Amino acid sequence: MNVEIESGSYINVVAIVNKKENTGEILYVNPASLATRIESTSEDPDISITVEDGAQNLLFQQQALVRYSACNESGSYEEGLIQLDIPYMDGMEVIKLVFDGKVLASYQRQSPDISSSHVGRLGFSPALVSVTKRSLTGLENIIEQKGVTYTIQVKTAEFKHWHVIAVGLNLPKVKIDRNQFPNETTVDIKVIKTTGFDDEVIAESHLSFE
Amino acid sequence: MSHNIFEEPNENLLQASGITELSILGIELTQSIQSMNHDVSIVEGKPALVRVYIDQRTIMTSINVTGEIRWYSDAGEHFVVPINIVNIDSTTPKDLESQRDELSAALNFILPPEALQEGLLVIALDRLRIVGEGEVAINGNTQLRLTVEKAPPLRIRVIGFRYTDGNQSFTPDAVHFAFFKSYLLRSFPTNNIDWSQIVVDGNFQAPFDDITASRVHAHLAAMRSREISAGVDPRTHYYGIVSDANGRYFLRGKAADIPGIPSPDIVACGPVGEPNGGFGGDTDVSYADWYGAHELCHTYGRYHPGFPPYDPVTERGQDASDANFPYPEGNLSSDALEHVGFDIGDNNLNLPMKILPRQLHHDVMTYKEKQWLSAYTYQAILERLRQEDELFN
Ligand SMILES: [Zn+2]
Repeated sequence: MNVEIESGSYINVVAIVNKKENTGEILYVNPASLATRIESTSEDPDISITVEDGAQNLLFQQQALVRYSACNESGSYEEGLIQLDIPYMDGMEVIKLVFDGKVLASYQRQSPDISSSHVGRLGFSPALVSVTKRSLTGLENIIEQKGVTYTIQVKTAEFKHWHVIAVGLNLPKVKIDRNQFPNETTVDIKVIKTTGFDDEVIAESHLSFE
Repeated sequence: MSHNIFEEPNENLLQASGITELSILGIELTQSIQSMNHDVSIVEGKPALVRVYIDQRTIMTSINVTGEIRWYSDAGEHFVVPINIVNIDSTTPKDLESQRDELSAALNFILPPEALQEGLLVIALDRLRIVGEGEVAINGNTQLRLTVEKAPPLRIRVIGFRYTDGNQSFTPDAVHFAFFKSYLLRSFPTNNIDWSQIVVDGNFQAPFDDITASRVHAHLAAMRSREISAGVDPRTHYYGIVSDANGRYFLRGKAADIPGIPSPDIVACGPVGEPNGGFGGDTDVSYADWYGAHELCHTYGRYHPGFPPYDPVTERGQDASDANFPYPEGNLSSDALEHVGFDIGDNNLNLPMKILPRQLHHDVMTYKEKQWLSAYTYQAILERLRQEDELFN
């Protein structure tokens, strides 16, 4: 077994699966430019992640490395976690979580409705005395759409990389807590709309807490 | 008649003990856990306590002893004065073992981080002095020669998850982040903690169920993927904390896996809150520290030693998935190996410096109270941190 990092275009899929209950969920699908590649012999032969194109042709199939958690109450827990980076391929349409030939969950690529994400000017709700949390404004007209989620990232002078304050949101509704950035008067904020396969930055701004 | 304190001291106050020399039983340098053989790695930059143990058996009176040590290395040579005075009383002589188990029973010196540079470090006991009398001769080995090892960084991002129960919202308090970070700095084999933290809205609600922890793990994994794509070091471990809402909602801690090889992508989560006078033998204001350290250690490949042993009737206790754990009862050491724990404390968190006797404290991977890293876990974490530091180069 070996762990490596590769850069390129990937789709990061995070799913949970319960073999005993025959259930599973694909919880997060997001583009990634860095992939964790695990060479392992402990993949579960019964569980796989597949990707198909729009005509149901199989583009990708991989037995899943299912992580079973430690520190459980004995015997009470059968939930496993799947973290998989799939190389991006043209025509990817459907991601499936398959157990023993049965599809437990699937994730369908949607064509984002352009009119659903009309963005105004990004800003903060007014500063109020004794209120440290400020809502992000300018995003009120966005309409929820199946298969489209939002990631909101923040960058500060202290933390130089874009870091995530929200991922997988159905709507980009978020409050920024001033207390989280004790040494900053301003932050950079970026709102990413994603189908899971493609990212689109729909708003980016340098905002002041003052 | 009262004595003018600005005149020379009243000689009648000084009763000479007649002692002209003191014997040394040993000198110990400890950063988190150590034995008299110094078989636990000493790592660079981590503050250390030097302890001088004096043979008390031959002393027939009561004396207070102070002294001076010197450390030298490539970084130069410096004198250090002790942080205490040892009282030696013929009615209560303490042997080496009891001196090691009690902070005030030895003469203690704090070495500054700059003394702990990679390479040779020599500690020399230069002087012992009986307070009120003067310097005495020293019998025994007054030098300790040690090798300080390079300390790999521990890279961690701690995510606090906000959640609601439909009526009220719960957010992990800042104190829990602070206690966890401080514990890692004090107990882990590195002084180099690459730490960041943030609070985000969780993807779950209270009350929690069987899959809440898995949802938290999934959330951490998705954040992690986004962030390493944005430039965060891919060797960073992600740990999620969830408030126990003052005991109302308790998210049992879990690590997503126990990886056999270095795998910083393995996430973990755990509860935070106040121990309320004793959870886990903890009497301060947060149990986020040792609880978090346990889950984090799983992500560095550490298994359960099996203490207290699992009881199939009550379904309580711990699986013994680590067959190699070397100490009885989940203790910090066996008697034969003689490791004693040391917690340097944290003034900012009102945590005093403490000695952690091996029978009263337990390895962080057990489910027993008063947790600290045993030498076994300490060395294994050091090895894994080194392996992870080499990843992706
Ligand atoms: Zn555990």
